[in-house]
Amino acid sequence: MKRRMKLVCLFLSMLITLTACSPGEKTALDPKNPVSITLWHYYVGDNKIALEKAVDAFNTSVGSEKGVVVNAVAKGSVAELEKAVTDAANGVINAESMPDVFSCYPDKALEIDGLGKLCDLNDYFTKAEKVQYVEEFLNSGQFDGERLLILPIVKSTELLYVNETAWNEFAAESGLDASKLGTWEGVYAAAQAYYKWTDAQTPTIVGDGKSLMGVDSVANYVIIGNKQLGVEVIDGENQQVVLNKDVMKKIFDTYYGGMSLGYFNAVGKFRSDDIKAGDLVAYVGSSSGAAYFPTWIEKDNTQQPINFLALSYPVFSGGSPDAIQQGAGMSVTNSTPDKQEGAAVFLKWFTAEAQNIDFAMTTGYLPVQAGAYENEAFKTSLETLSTGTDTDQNIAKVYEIALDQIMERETYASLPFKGSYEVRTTLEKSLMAMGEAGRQNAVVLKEQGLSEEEILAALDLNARFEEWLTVIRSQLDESGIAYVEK
Amino acid sequence: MKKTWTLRRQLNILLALIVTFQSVALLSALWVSQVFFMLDAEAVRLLNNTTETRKKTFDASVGQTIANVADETEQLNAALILLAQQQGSAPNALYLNDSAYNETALRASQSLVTILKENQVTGAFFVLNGSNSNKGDPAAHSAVYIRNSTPDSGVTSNYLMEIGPIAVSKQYTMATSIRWDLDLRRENSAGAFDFYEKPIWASSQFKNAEMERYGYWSPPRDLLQDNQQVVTYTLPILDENGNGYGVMGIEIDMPYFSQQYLPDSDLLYHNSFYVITQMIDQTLNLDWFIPSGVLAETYLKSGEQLTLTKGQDKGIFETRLGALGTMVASVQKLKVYSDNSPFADQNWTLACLVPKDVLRENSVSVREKLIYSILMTTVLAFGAVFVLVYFFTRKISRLSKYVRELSPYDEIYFKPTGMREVDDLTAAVQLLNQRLMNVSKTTSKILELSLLPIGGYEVLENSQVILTDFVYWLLHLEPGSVITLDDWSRYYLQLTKKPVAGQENIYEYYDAYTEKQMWLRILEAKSPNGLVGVIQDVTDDIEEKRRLTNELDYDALTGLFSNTALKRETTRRIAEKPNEIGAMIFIDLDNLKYINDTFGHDVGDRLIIRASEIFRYFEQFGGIVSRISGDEFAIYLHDCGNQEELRQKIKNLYPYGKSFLLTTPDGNENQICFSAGVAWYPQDASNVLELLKRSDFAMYEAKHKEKGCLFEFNREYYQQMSYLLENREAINRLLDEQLIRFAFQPIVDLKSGEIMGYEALMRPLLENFKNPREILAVAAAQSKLAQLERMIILMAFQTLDKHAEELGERKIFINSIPSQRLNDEDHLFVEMQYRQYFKQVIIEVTEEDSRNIELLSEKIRFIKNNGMAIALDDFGSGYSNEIRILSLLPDIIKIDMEMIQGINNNVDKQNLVANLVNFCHNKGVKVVAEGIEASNDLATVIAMGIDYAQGFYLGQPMFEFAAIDPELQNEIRELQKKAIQNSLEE
Repeated sequence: MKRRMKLVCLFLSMLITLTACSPGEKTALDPKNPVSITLWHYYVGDNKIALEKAVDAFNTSVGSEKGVVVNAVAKGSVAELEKAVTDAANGVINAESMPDVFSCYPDKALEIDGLGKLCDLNDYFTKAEKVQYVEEFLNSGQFDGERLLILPIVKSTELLYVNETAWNEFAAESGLDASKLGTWEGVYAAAQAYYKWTDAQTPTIVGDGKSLMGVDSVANYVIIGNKQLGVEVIDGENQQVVLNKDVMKKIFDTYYGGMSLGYFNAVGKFRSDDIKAGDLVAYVGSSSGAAYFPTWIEKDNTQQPINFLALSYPVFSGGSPDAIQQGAGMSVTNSTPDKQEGAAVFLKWFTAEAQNIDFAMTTGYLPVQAGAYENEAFKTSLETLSTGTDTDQNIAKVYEIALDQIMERETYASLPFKGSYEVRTTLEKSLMAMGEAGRQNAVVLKEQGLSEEEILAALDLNARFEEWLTVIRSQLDESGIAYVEK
Repeated sequence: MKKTWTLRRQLNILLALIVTFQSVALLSALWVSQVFFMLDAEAVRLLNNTTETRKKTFDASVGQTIANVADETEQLNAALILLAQQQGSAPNALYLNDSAYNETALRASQSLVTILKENQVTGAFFVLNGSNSNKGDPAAHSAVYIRNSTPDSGVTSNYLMEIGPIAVSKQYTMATSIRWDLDLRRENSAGAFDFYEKPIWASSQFKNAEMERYGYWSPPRDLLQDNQQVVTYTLPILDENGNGYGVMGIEIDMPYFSQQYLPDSDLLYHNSFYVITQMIDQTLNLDWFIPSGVLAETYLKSGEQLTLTKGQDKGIFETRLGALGTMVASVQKLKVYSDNSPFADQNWTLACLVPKDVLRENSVSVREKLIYSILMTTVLAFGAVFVLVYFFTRKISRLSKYVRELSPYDEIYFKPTGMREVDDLTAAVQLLNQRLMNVSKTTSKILELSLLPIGGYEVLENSQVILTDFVYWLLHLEPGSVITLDDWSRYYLQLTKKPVAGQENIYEYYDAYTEKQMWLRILEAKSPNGLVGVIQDVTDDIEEKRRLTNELDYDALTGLFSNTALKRETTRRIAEKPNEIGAMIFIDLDNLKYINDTFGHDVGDRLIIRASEIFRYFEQFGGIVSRISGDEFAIYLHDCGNQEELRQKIKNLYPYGKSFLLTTPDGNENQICFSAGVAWYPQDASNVLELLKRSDFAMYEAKHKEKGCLFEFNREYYQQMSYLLENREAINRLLDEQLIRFAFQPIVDLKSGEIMGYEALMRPLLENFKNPREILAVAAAQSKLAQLERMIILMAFQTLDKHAEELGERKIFINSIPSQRLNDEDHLFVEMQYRQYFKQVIIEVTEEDSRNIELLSEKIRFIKNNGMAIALDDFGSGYSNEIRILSLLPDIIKIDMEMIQGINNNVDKQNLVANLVNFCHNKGVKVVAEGIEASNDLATVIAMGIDYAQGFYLGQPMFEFAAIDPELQNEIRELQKKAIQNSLEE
């Protein structure tokens, strides 16, 4: 009797263990009592609308089947989102409570994970599911070897947007070729020429030349410039910042010089806005901004149509043709099993090819699943775009370049380490400040009637460079981030 | 039989009933109190409260927004009127001039940004009556449309310009949208531009009214064709005359609307949702609606008319909604318009819909849980009852099981149960058992000590057989070994195999083990649960009986048949051949008494043996030779030819017997003499007892008439003398039981006429005897005279003693047997006991036999010595030596009635009596005249001087002491006087 009882107990316990082990069977979700998932994102405009539509679609289909309701909350910019998340994670007074899912860059993910607030998505994604993602994209969300803290949602790269109408007008006059725009040196030279050409158009007014070039993300410019020149300024492997003076000097000179002398500019919120206002002819910016590139610009209170030329990201001469690869993924907060699982269910659904392509192609993002690139729908969509409205055609052009960069050329995403996001900010803000200061100084000098060379000399690029480095060093020291100089 | 249940079951049922009753009572109480439905009401109230709170929050928030927007619009109106004046144009023409428009746009943007900053809206816009960039296009309206994707953050950096001049974008460093445009285009479809037209229309209707009155809420629509449904609130831009030339508005997109104004967090119940829509007459008109979330979007169908039915509480309705089933709706009217607004009839209504079953979930759940709890509690209570009752009654069950399984041989020991009553009971039983065992032991011991070979067995229905040690011993089994029912049936068969014929329950049993023949008595009786039996070894009894039977059949001394054997065998032979002739010979040895007296009993025995050898003579004829008793023998011959032949054979006995001699110790060889009588079958008698009697009588005759001879039965003689024989037994009985009584005949004193005494006359109480003479005769024949004498004397004294007072001084005459006298012991007894009566007693004796005169005189002397008187009875009846007797000097002489009767006319008798009287008087002897039966005889004897008289004339014998008749007394006195006179005369 007693032996039989033991056997039965053994059998039952084995059964329970087996049941518990079998994946996919057990769920914390209950369709009758759906779990509410709050999603914070930084998308705006059409991306926001597209996300909200996707969330609606999810809620009424898979979500309602499995018992997940997602509430998408726009948190404005990346910076605002990250502040809100950091505040929430740190439990700052008056901060909102942590969302269940949020858009997140790797650097931030590391920080939040350091607070123990992130969930390892490996628990919710099988190997088979994970291999569907582009390995490189997935890797950028993987930390400490295995922990998958970020699921890639969409990716983007940067390229050179050109108001072809304006460029052609200038090119026809200057005899410059668009191929000049392949290098930063070429860009700089073309911008210089453009400035002079426009300045010459109003002979009565000296120094009213127009800017040709804009840089949307200065940080990316610094990082990818370093990379092109063989330096990883954010050395994730060694968890330090590498300040290579020669490389940094080249980068500094191009930007600082361009900005100071008005070759480069940044007026509106985004460089695409500057294009729309007719303040710029070209800029380097994210492929995800493709839709924002206008088909017309406002001129004299009227709409003036323009053409669009998409070019690859410029390369410092002698550098490798690297372009940035970026894009926030989404992280899931360490919360309750049902919320974590609900979030994972949403992310799986959202990054599945059909939804992912729809969302990505709203503005020019790249899907994250390898299969998407072979997907007929994706290809058809691209073709539809290339024969669609002007905006659609613009997007198609961006995809052409972006896909070329992703598939054929090198794209680079710095390996993050703790504080590396601050490094980005430091690099960007310090350089932008330097540029702004340079421009203001230059304006004064211009009024004094100094030539461009004289102005440059007066500005003392070497000294300014050292100043920049000093700012960088001090900020890194302040943040306690290690750096080496070379 | 009354059904019995175990204590355990009864307790179980009782307690289970209590538990059940309690549970049922609890359920009933809950049902009656309707507690659950209170929960339902509470849920509805809660729902109503929540919805009302939401409405208030919404109203407050929206009201504030309206106020802000109205305020801002009024400021803008004023600013634009001023601007138009500066530009030298009318406000409604501001769009026509580029710079004027730029100014206008920038000023409007300022208001829009302010609105966006201050209010929780997702967009704000400003639309003019015409297009600056497309002046010829009537469908185009110059507009500024700014959206804020993060209304809650208060950050302006996320503002996105959908429509407007780039100057505005630059002014506020505001990104432009993908669909950035300069104009808002009027759609052709009807109502699509209501947000623009309605407020302006309203302003035209109510001139100079407060701004809020013109406000218009447009239902959700995709205003910018970007897939974003938005709700707008617009106010007119008015010129100084109050004519509208544009609108200023806010936009709330659907996601934000639901997040901000209809938050899920508000909802108390799952599967519930808010919706804002138009409500008309209890119907939710879903032509447009603002859903709170996914559920509302899923289950509410655009264009549907959702009819509500009024519920119990105010603002509570019910409706059916697809898969969600019956919904409870809490409805609150929203205040988005002033009461005086022309659009107030749009009835914006907030409804919160909850599935009815969800609303009642709590109460259902509580109900279920409560019922489950009660059921569980009940089940647990049952379990507890069973377990507790089990443990409670286990001891008692064990006890009863223990008792059931007890063997009668076991000593009882009860384990204590801890229950005092039960333990007391068991202790009592234990004590009883102890006593019973003691009794049983004692009984066994007694049985054992009694040496009775007896044993018992009990066959129980439950196939158990219990044996006592004796039975084990009998069957040669180990004592105490277990005997099954099968074993026992085998043993039983073996024991009862040979029943003894004619003797119930006795079985012959051969014990093969000891090779002994045994007899057993086996008795069985039913017992309540089987049967019990007793086995007794009766071997000894049987053998003894057989031996006794043998002894009874044969005479021990002679080896002849016994008396009983003779009777049995004779009866048998007669029965076998009743038609043959038989002869019963009764023989009595003549001189056994002499031999015994002379030589002792040993020689007497030898004589008997010797005699028996003679009588065996008849054995050759098949005779049954038996010794009846002492010296009496009887032989029966049957079927030995005819009577003559048989007689001859019998007669030959004497010659045959001559050769048998008995040598006595004195050396003489004596012939053996015997007398014999023969009675014939069937001539004299037909059964053995009669034959014996008749032959005995014949022998008796021989003995009396001719000793040593054989007499045949003589019927005439027998009839004459039979009473002597027949009453042989009777006399013994009479003597043993003193079956006599006394009659008293008065004896009268002839001088005084008084009764001087009574003669006690013996009267037999047995019918066998007709008179005292026969008693005397039989007693004499049976040599019982001594006993008779003793009885008469003793009884006479007893009677005297008893009637002493009645008798007074009078005498008693007692008849005594002359040849007998009391032995010394009896004499002593009488003397001790009755001495005082001696002087009253007169002993009457008769002289019958001259041989006994010596004996008589001795007796008389003996009586006289005792002070008693002697009377000589029947004097003159013919005995020869009367005179001689007189010499014995008796006190009284009673003259026989032969001499008295007829004396009056018989001179001989007169002479004889006169002489006798004379003689007696001379000697001092009184004279009694017996048999006075006539008056003249009385007169004669009185005249002759006789002293006393008795006779029928004077008084018959009676069983009482009769008094004398007074007449008779007078007669006697007269006669006496006469006699005295006569003698004086002489």
